[in-house]
Amino acid sequence: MGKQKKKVSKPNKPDEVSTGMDRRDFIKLSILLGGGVFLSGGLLGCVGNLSDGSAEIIETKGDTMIIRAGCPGHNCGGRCILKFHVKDGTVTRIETDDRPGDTLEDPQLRACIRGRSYRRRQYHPDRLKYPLKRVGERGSGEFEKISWDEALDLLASEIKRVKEKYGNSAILVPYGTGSYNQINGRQTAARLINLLGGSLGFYNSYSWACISKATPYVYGTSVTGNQRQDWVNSKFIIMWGWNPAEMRDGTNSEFFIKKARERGARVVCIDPRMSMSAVALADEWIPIRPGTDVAMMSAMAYTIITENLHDKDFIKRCCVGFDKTQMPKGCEDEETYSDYILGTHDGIPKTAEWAEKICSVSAQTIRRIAREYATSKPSVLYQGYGMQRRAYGEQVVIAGCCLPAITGNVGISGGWAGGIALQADDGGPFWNVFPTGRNPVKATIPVFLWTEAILRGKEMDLEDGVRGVEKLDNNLKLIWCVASNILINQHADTNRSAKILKDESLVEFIAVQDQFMTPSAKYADLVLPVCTQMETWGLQDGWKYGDEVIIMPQLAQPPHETKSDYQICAELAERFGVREEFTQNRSEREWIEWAVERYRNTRFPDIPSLDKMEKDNWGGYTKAVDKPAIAFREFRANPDKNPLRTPSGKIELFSKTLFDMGKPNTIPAVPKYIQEWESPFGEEAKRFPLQAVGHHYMARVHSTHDGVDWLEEAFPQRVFINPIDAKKRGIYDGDEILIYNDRGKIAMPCRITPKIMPGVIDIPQGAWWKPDKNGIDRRGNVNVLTSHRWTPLAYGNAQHTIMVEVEKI
Amino acid sequence: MHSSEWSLLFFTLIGQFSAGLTTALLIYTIITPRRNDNAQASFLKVGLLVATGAIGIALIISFLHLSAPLSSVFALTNLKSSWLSREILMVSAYAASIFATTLYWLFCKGKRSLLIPLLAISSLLGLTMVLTMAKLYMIETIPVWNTPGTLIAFYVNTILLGSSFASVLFYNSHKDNLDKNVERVFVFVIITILAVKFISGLVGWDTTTNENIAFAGGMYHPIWDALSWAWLLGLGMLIRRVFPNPRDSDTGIRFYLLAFVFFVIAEFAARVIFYSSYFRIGL
Amino acid sequence: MAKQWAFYFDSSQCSGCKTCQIACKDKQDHAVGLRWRNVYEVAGGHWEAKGDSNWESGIESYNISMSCNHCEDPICMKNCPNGAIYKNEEGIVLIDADRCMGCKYCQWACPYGALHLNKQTGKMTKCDLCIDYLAEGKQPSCVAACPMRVLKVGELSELRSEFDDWENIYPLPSAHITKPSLVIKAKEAAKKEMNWKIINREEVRDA
Repeated sequence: MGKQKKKVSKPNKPDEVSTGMDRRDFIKLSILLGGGVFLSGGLLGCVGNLSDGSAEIIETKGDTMIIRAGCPGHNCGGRCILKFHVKDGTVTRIETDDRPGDTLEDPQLRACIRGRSYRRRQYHPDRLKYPLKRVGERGSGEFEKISWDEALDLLASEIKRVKEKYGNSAILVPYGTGSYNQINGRQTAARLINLLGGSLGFYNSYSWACISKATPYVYGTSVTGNQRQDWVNSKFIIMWGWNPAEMRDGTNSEFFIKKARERGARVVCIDPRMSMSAVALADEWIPIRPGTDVAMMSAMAYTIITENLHDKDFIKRCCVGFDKTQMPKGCEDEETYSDYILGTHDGIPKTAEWAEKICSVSAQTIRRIAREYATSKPSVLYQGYGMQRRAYGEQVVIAGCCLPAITGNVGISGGWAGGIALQADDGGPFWNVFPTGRNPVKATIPVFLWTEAILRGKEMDLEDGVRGVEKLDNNLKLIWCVASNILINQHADTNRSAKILKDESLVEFIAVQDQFMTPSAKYADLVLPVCTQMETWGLQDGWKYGDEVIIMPQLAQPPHETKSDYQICAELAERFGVREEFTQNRSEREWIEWAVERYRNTRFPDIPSLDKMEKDNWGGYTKAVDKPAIAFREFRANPDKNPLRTPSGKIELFSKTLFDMGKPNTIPAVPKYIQEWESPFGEEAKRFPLQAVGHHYMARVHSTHDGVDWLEEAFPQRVFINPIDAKKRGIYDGDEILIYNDRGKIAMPCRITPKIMPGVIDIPQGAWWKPDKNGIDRRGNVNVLTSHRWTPLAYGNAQHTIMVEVEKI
Repeated sequence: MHSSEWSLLFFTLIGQFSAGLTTALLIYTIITPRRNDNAQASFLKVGLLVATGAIGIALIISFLHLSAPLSSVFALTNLKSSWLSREILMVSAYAASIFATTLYWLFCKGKRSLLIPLLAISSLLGLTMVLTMAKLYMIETIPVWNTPGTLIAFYVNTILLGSSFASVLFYNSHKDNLDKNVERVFVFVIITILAVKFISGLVGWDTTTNENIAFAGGMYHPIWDALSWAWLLGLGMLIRRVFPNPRDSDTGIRFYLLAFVFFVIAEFAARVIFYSSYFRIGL
Repeated sequence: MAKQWAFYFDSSQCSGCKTCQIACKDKQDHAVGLRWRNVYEVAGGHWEAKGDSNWESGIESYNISMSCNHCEDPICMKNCPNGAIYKNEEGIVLIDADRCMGCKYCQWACPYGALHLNKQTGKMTKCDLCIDYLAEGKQPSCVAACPMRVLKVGELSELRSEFDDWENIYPLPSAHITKPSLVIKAKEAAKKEMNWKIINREEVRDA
């Protein structure tokens, strides 16, 4: 899971390409040629020696170099600075950002355990060393070592073969968020495949399918978030299914909430689990049944409207669809937003009593929170991503946008419009700037439906979310999976995915490019070993939020025969005669310099050169935020002069676009509570009475870091179960228990905790699938239990909608 | 119970047994008129050898508990505030003393003028050693051990095993010429110390009855608990000896031996429960 | 120059993320099983059933991050037979490894779980307050690491005058026993009787 590639919103200036070969090129070239030339002092020590006058001041401590650089991050929501101690080309210690200051405007970017324990990943004995070719059955994990030439020749010939036999749309370079650091990562393969005729495109993401699709129906944009420093101006903050202290939703988000509390904000966490964020930041924790958030939000709206707490002026000026007086043309008699809430059309007023039976939150509490949210001026209702990664996840996104709108918490300091909340006012970080070019293949599918495209691609059409063409013309035949564990592990319904991939008549060739033998790599025909971020150049900016550019100079040599993703692609490009087009004759470092220029021409005109950032050795560039941007400020001030990019130009509590889709039961025009297709209220609950969620564990970034010993020691992989559910089944703390539904079985040790509501269990997501000889997963990969069924509007993954039963073994 | 604590368990059991045996030998020497027969000599010889051997074994076992035994040379440097340091001192002093006493007896060629003084010093050192052993467990942060019950349990072990073994030796070496009075003294001491054990249990100072026992899964506790009542069987053996069946031929040694075996089982079980009940307040 | 170095820990806003624990492990290169700093997850209260399948939470939870409290009257120092534990002139409690014979008596005694056996060296070890960093004017590793900024070090009396202190937070023992140099801020809920328990025992047990 991760996010979609961020589109660059600013106009492009001509690229400034460095010319000639400076000392860096010389070193890079040497490394590309084998790298054995240098003294054990490592790259930067040598650079110091070769300095031609503009010497870098490399901080040293005895014989150890101190280099501040970005945490490799992967798809962590954090973008932090690490302080590396490097001796003889080996990292001996990792500290974090220690810039003096640590203010609200420019706080330190402190890393978490994933970054701090990185040496244990960097020097993990299981790191891939050599290219491997499958010798056993697909999925058996049996490989033999081959040379790079053999490996790349094989991959090139397979790409050629599939291109010729089927066409480029039979190729998939799947979604993968293993690296956003420009040189390592899927974007390098995407760039190359686009030069080779393209591949099946996809849209959306595993992280944010519903929330990124649905937000613009309300606001016409995804840029709905104020800069986070503004949170300190809020009086009341609801963290709804949001756990930044654990998964990190932008480095320091949890720190900013802490600052808000210091200034008097009251914080409430609404979540089936008492998460780390709830423990650290909440004045009150309200446990809610998973998948029923819209019921509570609707009941809150009921209280707000019936008690006249809504912001009538704001609704009149800035919204449409609230009531009969402001419906779009052609929909005058349709069910308005307040019709649904008050029950005037469907006869069911969405009272707190109605919601109480569904969401388990008492009516009293719902009313109290509704009043507090509406009357604390201003308030924040922050939507986490877990609740939209579910069946009908689009509804909760829209509902969570409507509540801020009807209470007038949009476009003001201390308020929050909701939705995906990309950062105002320029949309925030770019994530990836490495140019992938245009995909000549026009067909795109929703990212989550790639297994469908294997099974029945040629039958997929607009109803299956196909865009760009009317129908796909191919089933997928070749998968080149780079920096991704999507094939097995992170995609839903692991057993079904494994069965599909195992069939060589379906996907004829699978190549996986990674740093470890992940469960996805086990299903490859060819495995290519990639070096880590510390062994190549890189650059990253913020994750969703943030105003910084963090550099990642190369600290060490790639060990054994590993190479960066970029270099692998460059060598593959050679075999197609497009090397120059692919590399633009740039070394890895030169690409990073190029990336810095992109930032100079867009978000950060004052960003220093890469040379200077290295020399200053603070890890990059940060821009202090003393006047946080407020999303929709201009719109709120004058909605006629600054209309939104919605059909009405205003906030759409009722969306005619959605109405026109003609699917009122699954894609209503106003946000509605829809019972999930697997829910405690359905027939399935008789056999599978417990809901399962798979939260983002502190010990991992999705499936990255699994297997790092210090992280497993700190946060062992367990299924978390409430003492009441455990007692009913005779289960004690630490027992190995069986968790199962029709899609699969997991046997793993349990942890009894009162910090999850009864009726819900939690298996932290991302653990690597480890099926025993009976097909039972012994490690706890939650996707053994999840379903391939997708959401109606966004075609998104509903991976938290799971019903299970649990037994003592 | 941690694996390294088994060595402490045997160390304290065997070390205390040695001190108790020495004390029993002292009492015997005091109350028995001097005789020039072999019985006395052999009784004392075997007793002293066993007492010395026991403390020697105990000392060796105690080193097994250390993860850096070479640094134990520093172990006598915190007598000021550490009961463990004092205990190490007393163990060493007692061991040296009983060793010297044994050597004396082996080579004194019949002269025994120094026997009682040496035995007295050894016994005093031994009993003080038991005191230091108990005190080091009585720390404020381990409330379950920080009771008079620990002291009582340790002294009970000392006297019980020591006198019981001495009675075996005594009967074995004197069976042709049993001094009933001396025999009665042994039995009286044993029964008295069992009464102390029983009463301390009633008062709640018996360390086998506490609730904080951290056995794995609670499984073994009932077994050890049951075994710690083996002292009743030993008591029964003694009573049988005191009120013998007239049809039995002379089987006195059997009773004393069995009694000793039962007392060892009971004390061992009680000591396992003691160590397993370790529970420290705080984190 | 501090007379008695002390930790300040704001338990009311600690998320339990264990960055402090890992930062220390990385600095010390400790293997799995050896942790100078542990994070204890404490929870109390109970669930109340409401109707058929509704639940109301009476649960409260907080975390305690603890290494060594460099006590003013250290029970470890008093009890070490070898005199291997000592307090320096700034109040930091340190172990002279040469003198330690690994008897683990200090570990038995310390109510804060501060002492650990380093299986590689056979000696007892514990938090040394990053005495080398303090000498350079740097913060200890755990303090500088904390993403929630809930750890501080300073002079004990100054910390006491600046911050709230709730010494009786479960499961810490009464402060009179060893006089820990610790100022700890607790949630209001932590001050109530709530049948508190440590619920992550397997993560904090010594190997």
